[in-house]
Amino acid sequence: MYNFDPIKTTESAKLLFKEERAINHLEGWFIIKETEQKYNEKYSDLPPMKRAAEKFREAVKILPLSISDYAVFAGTQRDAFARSYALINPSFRVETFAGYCDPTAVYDDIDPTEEFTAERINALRELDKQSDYVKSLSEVYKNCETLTGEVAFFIEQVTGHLIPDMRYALKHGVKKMLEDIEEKQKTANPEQNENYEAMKIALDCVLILAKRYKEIADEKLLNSEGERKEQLTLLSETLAKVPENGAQTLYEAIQSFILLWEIMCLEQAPNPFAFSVGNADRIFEPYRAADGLSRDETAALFKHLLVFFNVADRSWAISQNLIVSGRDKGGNDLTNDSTYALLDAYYDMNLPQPILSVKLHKNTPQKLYEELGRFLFTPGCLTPSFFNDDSLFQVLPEAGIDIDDVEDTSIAGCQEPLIMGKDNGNTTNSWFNLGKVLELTLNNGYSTITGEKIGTVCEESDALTLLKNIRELFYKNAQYFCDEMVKAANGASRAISHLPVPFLSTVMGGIESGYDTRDINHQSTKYNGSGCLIHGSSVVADSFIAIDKLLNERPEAAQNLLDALKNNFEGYDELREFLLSAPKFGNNIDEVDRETAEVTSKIADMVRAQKNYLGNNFRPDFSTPSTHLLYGYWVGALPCGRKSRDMLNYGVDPLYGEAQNGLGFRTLSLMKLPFNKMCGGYASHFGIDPKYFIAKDYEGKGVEFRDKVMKPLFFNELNKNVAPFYLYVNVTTAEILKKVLAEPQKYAPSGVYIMRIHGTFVNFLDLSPAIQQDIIRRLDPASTAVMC
Amino acid sequence: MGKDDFIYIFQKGFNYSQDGPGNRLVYHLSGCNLNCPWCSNPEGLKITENSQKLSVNDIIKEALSSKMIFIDGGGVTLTGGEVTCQKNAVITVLKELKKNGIHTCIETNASLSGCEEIFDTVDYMIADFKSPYEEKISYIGGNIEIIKKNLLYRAKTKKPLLVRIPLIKFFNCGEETAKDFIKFFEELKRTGNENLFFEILTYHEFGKEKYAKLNMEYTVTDGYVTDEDIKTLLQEFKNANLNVINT
Repeated sequence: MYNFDPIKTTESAKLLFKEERAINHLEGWFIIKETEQKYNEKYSDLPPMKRAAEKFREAVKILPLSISDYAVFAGTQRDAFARSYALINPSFRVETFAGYCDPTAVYDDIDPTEEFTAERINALRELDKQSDYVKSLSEVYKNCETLTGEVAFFIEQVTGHLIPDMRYALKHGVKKMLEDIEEKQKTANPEQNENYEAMKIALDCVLILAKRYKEIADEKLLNSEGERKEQLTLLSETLAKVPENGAQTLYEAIQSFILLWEIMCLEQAPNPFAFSVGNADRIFEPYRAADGLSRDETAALFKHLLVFFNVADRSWAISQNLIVSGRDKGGNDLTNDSTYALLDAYYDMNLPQPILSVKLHKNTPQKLYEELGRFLFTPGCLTPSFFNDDSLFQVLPEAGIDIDDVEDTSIAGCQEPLIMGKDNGNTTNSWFNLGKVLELTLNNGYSTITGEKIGTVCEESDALTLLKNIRELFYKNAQYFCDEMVKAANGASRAISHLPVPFLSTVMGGIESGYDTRDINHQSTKYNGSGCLIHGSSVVADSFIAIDKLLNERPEAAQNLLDALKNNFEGYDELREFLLSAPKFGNNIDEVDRETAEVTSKIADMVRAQKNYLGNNFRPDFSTPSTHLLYGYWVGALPCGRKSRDMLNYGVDPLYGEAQNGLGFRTLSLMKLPFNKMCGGYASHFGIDPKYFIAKDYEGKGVEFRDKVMKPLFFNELNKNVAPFYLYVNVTTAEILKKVLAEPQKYAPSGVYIMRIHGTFVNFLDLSPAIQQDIIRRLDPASTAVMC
Repeated sequence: MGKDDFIYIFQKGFNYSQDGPGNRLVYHLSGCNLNCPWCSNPEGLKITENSQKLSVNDIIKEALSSKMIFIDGGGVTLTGGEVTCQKNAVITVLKELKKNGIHTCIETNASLSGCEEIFDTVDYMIADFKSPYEEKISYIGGNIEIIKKNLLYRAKTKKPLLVRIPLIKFFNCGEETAKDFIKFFEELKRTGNENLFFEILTYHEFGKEKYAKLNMEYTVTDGYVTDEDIKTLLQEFKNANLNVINT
């Protein structure tokens, strides 16, 4: 067999990435949609899932394919994505972003060319508007537009955001999966039987893809020589074998994985955002071990796998997540040789995608921390996000996950924990804005931003009575908006069910259940729920405490406060100073920390009690992936002293600037929150100045990071509560980032300077200016200071 | 003296293992009796209007509410400035902390007399020993005999004592100095204290930027030590079989 030289293989991976980044147009998704539309009529008599599969197969047959001269594997995600993701779009503005309400807005993300003319694009857009999916989703949005207009809540249909389990397909091949389906069909009911037919067609798609790539490889072979000829020969032979049959070598496993992944994403073009790999180190380790490949050899092949996750000029395949390490249910560490090889590949390539996450636990070997040091302390290098696996082993069983499944927890998108291959979490289905709810409660249902009547279920009262009862009234209104949100969110889930996903279903438990992953009448996956991202917990708690202070010290100023909020504190500077001087979350002040824990707990319970389209519970997720900015823009001034249109607090963190006493105190405040209730996930970020770490080398700094940051927060033997389970960090300073922006040529000569925003990392230089500034502000150095 | 005593600090925060064992809440007390030109906290040399005044109760309350994060044998550390400059309040704080089951540590230059009660009370003591020579110590405003006496006093209590040598090129490097350091350290060892540790801290300029902000002149031009300087001193420690640690 051909042996891949690590140095040369690395070189070709880097050239492959460079080639990919030079692509500034994406039309593959359009071709797929257009082809599917073309065959609409032909397959109109078939049941929905089978119709979807047939139309998709037609698209896979004609989709233009190629293999780069730098590629050692065949496959790309390029044809599955549009250039849509707002935060890396230079034209994105906080002021004008309206959410992704219009499902046909994607047609604006393709620039007309001679081939893809404006007429052709518009024609497809108009046809798409007539689809059941678009019509029903538009209806949902229309019905809640008063409540979503200024984002009391937002809802969306969830695409991507799942973690397929590819292990069976890799090991046994698609042929075996087809046999399994045949077996299941023997006892299936008619509906399941039709669904199984759809799954068989969908699996055929990946075989078609492999065959077509093999033909290209064979053609290229004719004009190749030397080493490239050997590579192409191996590629051709491999494509003849996988994914139809089980993989035996690491090379075969990666190739098989890439094609399975490609088909899964093509099926959801143009929105397969945030699919995640799962524990890649565990997926690939058996094949590496069988090959006996060295760390360098393994890393070199992984580098090509990583490039596959980058699409075109801005790496548009956002939030695809790959996780490593972690523990089993007995607490034993599962770090392996592939873990370290993946880390090497990540570090050397330093690509904007895919995101890297690491599961840590109290028995994580010191070596892993040592190897992580280089990521944290190299300027402009990607940093992994961290999960506390010990804590997940407590939180998830409490939420109904079998203990045996917990070791397969991985991260869908940013930080939502799901079980690989078994869990349809609809993670970003609903978005709840507590800041707006408080504003409306304080202003009799009227927006203080636009003056529009939005809604309240509370009776009007005088200022003093209102403030005295603010908690009760807030929760009453929160319940009202939450109920309305859930109705709309379930509507969106029903709308997306018009687009079945037969291929995805085969790697999400559909072969077992016989139903589509998106089925709204039958649960296809072992676990199912819907997500709700909750915004503004600490600004609401800070506001309650500021109101208490006002009522204690200046009860006569109650009306003054309401007037000040309406006027965004203009002319009320002294009152604002008074409110700002009230205790704030993040400083280990018990009164306000307890209030934040209570707001968090009550809202989590409120959300958790809601039922989704299948009657399963919603999952509270306290993360705000840049939406603390977007939704904050629609929230008026609040009693905590926060001004109108300013950001909300990020995730479960204090509002930037409010935690002034350093990392230890902030950690103590955080630990009081009810993480056991955050089964949908949460976000938290520390921006840490590298000067606090004084070890001489990366390895030493990695261990120091463990001791100063991770251990007190995650593995604190004195914390009797469920410990925090998520953190992302940027080890840098505002000064450094300002220099990078001012002189990118000097500080990021490669054009890539990786930073983390919420659960993903991105090229800092690709970001829209508003998001760049948000990153700089939220470094919030006073909140993370360490003594040294 | 009582719980209403106050201490003046210029900063507080947490650190792991570098200011005593485990994860610790560290208070930097204002005011110092010495004047070391390499000091990395020049803002703490005097009690000023920028100093924060904390009552003993404030500290106890804060320490108790922070207990959850004192992992790996952590607790509260009082450092400076120079802690013994506020000795009465410091004694009260240390005793109250101990009453509440909180591990205590001080970092001191050990150059003031009459601090035995502190040395008796504190759980873990970190003391500088900057030079074995009287002329060097008097150059920075101290008295070598008081320092030696204080360190010996603490060593004899048999409680943990970590002696730190801030290694500075122009001030305390060289083979002969190293040997003279060890002479005194052997005297400490002869007290039979089994919790006696030594650590070398190499010169750095982390605090240099603060001088300009405070309108002060930073005068050290020859502070950085070489690997050879460190090796020389370490070899002497090894020869004397002294317990050198690296926090």
